[in-house]
Amino acid sequence: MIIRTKGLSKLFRTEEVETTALDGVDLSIQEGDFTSIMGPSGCGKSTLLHILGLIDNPESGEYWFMGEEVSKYTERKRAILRKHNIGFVFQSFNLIDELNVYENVELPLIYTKASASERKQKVEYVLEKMNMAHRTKHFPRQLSGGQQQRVAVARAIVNTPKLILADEPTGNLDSEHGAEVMNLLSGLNAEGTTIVMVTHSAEDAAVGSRIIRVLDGRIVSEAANV
Amino acid sequence: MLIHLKLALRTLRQERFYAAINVTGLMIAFICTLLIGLYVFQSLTYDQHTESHKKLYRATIDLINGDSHNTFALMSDAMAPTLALQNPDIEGYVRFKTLPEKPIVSIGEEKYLEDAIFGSDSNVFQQFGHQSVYGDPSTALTSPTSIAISDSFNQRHFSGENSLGSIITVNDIDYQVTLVFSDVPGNSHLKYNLLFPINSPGFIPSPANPVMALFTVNTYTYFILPETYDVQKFSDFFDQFWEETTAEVLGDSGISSSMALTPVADVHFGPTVEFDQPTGNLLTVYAYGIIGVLIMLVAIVNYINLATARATRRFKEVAISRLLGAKKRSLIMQFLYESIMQALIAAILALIIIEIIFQANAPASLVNALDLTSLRTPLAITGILFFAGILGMLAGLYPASWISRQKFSSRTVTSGHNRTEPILRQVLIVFQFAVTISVIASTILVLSQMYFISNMPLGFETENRMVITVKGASAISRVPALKNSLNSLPQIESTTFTNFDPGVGFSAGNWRIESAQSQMENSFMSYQNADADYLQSMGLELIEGRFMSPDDENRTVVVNETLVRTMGWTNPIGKRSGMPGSPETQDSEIVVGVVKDFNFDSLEVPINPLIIRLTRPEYYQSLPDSVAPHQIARLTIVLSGPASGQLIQQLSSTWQEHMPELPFEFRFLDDIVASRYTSETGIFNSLSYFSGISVFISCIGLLGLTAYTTERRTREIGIRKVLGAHPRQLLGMLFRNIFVLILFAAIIASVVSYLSINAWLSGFAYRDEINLLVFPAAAILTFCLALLTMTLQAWKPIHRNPVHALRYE
Repeated sequence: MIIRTKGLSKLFRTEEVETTALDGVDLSIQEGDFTSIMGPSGCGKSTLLHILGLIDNPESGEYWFMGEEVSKYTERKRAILRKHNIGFVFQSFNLIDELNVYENVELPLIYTKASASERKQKVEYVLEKMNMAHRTKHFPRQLSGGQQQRVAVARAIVNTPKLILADEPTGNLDSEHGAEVMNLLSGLNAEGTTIVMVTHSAEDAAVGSRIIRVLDGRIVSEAANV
Repeated sequence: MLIHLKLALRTLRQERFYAAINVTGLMIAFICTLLIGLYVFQSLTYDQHTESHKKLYRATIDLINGDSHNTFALMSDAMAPTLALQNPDIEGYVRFKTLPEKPIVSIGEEKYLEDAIFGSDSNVFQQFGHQSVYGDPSTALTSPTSIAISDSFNQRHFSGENSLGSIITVNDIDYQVTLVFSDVPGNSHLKYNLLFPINSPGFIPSPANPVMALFTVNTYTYFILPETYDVQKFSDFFDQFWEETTAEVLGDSGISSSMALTPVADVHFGPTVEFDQPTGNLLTVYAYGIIGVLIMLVAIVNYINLATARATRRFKEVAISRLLGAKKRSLIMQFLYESIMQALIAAILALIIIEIIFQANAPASLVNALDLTSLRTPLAITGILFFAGILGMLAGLYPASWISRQKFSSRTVTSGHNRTEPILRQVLIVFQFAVTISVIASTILVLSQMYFISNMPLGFETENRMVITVKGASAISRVPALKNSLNSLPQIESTTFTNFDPGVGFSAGNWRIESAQSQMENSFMSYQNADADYLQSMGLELIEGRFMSPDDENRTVVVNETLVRTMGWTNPIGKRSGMPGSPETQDSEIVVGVVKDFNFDSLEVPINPLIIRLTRPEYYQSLPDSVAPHQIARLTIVLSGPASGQLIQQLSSTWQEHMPELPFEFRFLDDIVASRYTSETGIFNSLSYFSGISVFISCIGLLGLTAYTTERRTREIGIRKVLGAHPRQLLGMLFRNIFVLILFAAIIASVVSYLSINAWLSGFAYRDEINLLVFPAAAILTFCLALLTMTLQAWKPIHRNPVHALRYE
């Protein structure tokens, strides 16, 4: 079991209103799963993903990640877990505009203090795999959306994480490029990487092995996809 | 139009932090620029307040004696009428005859020393543009015992009421007020509060011999000549006149003289001459002008940088307006309205604050030197607001046109981002850093020069030395007894008796002095008269021989090092000197010692040769009645520490015992020395405030700029955090970027400020070395300031959950 949560809750407060984003979420994800999370806008699915990805913390409840209770971890401790174990793919790619393709992909390796030769080898390997090796010197704005997302995926997997979290990875792409990205993700899953993906698209969700539906901060249904 | 204004106001409210930074920066800049502008304007229009100033020429006289050459602002009061008789070009003249010393003025019970008093000609009011407050200017100075007073003097002593007919006593002579005239404008080189006729009984009568009368030195002289008169023609006329008139008296003595005319408007910034009124330093005015322009420039660059920065944040808003069909022009207008409005708010606040500063009588010396009336006119205010509007428009034009030039698509609307940094913006950022660095560096260098000048060792002690004026030969003869009484007091270290202010007061005249070849030669010399206690009381350093002693049978003198060097003496002791024409002293004053050079004259000129002569109060006893009351001397009391109220009481009563007829008025020597530089030091002090302010404005801009730069990278910080970046690595990333820009800016700033400060310093006779470390220091300071702002701004996104930074757009 790579992920297990019990009674996970999250509140958002502004000066005027308090919104419940997550309300007692219990969830278990096995290693090697491809889980799709679906639900309408504002249902809390992205919040759930952020908490699972250790870039946000829950209001209350328990979160066991790889056998450790991490819900009360400080940002510093979470950062260490994160950089070695989790890769992220975002809807808006979140590449750094000032860095070229190679440098963007190299970043996670710099933060895990990989040696220069190791970095070079790994970056070249994943760019080759993502079919972006011919674009290493390009900057994000010189690439199409599909190409940018392929770079983002390359960046997410360069540290060979156990878990990849994808937040609407095809949301900003046309159907052709979207399908391409989904192929990449299912390929990675086939190699053994656990994937949790938030999506609006039923078609994309169907790629996963399991679909979880979220509404108003609660899990309303869970179905294995066979 | 209205909708633009409404939108502009709403944006200002929404972005309070940046609007406050902008308006504060602009407002401070306006305050400084207006005050500096006023100062520069008033400085550059010195003595130009009357139409007739173009016909007024101030005369100076040169006395040439072999190698020595001295120019005087004062000349004989007989000179102008004599010359006017012989030169038909002279349409008239105005003279200001000085009293040998500040007279005691008494009004009723009140007694004090006045220095703004002259004897003058009756056309002075017309020629120098004075209005009458009370009385008739044309007849005001007809009677020898009439006196005209300035409006402010009338306010001070007669509470502004009609004081015609009141009695003012000057040196025991009663004068009747016949005129109250409008004040001399602040930007006049010659300032006076009291004028009485030039033939008043208060003056020592001139020598009866009309030629000898031309050799006295007591009167400022202004000639009225045709406009754009050829002054060389006048000098030629004078040379001829002088030769014909004085040939008989001077023979082949080698003494000659020449006269030069200066248009009155050029006197203030003209060369420094002996006995002149304080002159201005054009370098200081320029320094002010530069600082003023810099302040305004920094504020505008601040504005442009911040406004463009903010504009990038408002990209989404603009993109939506564009998609909804807004025209480019109306978008530009939107931004212009905002910047013009901010500039106007800043200008209005600035005017209000200036008014408050003046109402509150702020002690800043620049403010004192300024006359606000020219700012208060509706025309000036309209002009200032118009100027502010134009500046606002200029400052807003770049960000406005930049943002409206951007290409928009539905994607920029959803992502709200366009990360292209135009090259001009980078240039502006570097410029901003460069200005900050050079303002800091120049401020430090200007202040260090000021410090250098104000702490130049003068070569004599000035602290805890109380100087009292003793008037009249009879009082002077009682000084030895007074000295004895004072010396017996425990807090008194010593006392010394001098003719002039100790240390800094001196006279100059023709002298006979023994050359290296043992010939008696005529030479023009500066001299001080002092008693034997002078050396010890002033802390002078004796480097050869001995100081004068009261037991000396002959009249003895001590000279300074420069004199020894100038005369080429190898053995100065025993050399003879003396004042020519006086049988008692000619060739009979013997040099007994040499003192180390000290600065008895302004620090702007190099040290000249100096003779210190032994004087004794007894010399004053045998003077004829005609001159005895006019004698002036100084008594300096050296205190062992700062003067307490009790000690002053004690000194006052001791004084009254010996000098019942004279007021106990004292000054401190350090104040006397400082007052010789008041115009400079005061102006310098305000200059340092202004440079401080421009550093402050630069820092405000820096704050806004770095805050924005960091803010802009918040999202990137989030992404990097997600990927596992350590806070230290993130700060390092931010700093590296700014470091490159600052390094670049530091190089430009160092070169520019080195060159300009070097040019400025070359105007000083004594100048401080430029410490090159100042430039890296200023750069490091700027860098630290940027780091601090960045750290503060980046702290939250770096230490919070990365999701917050990711959501930031």
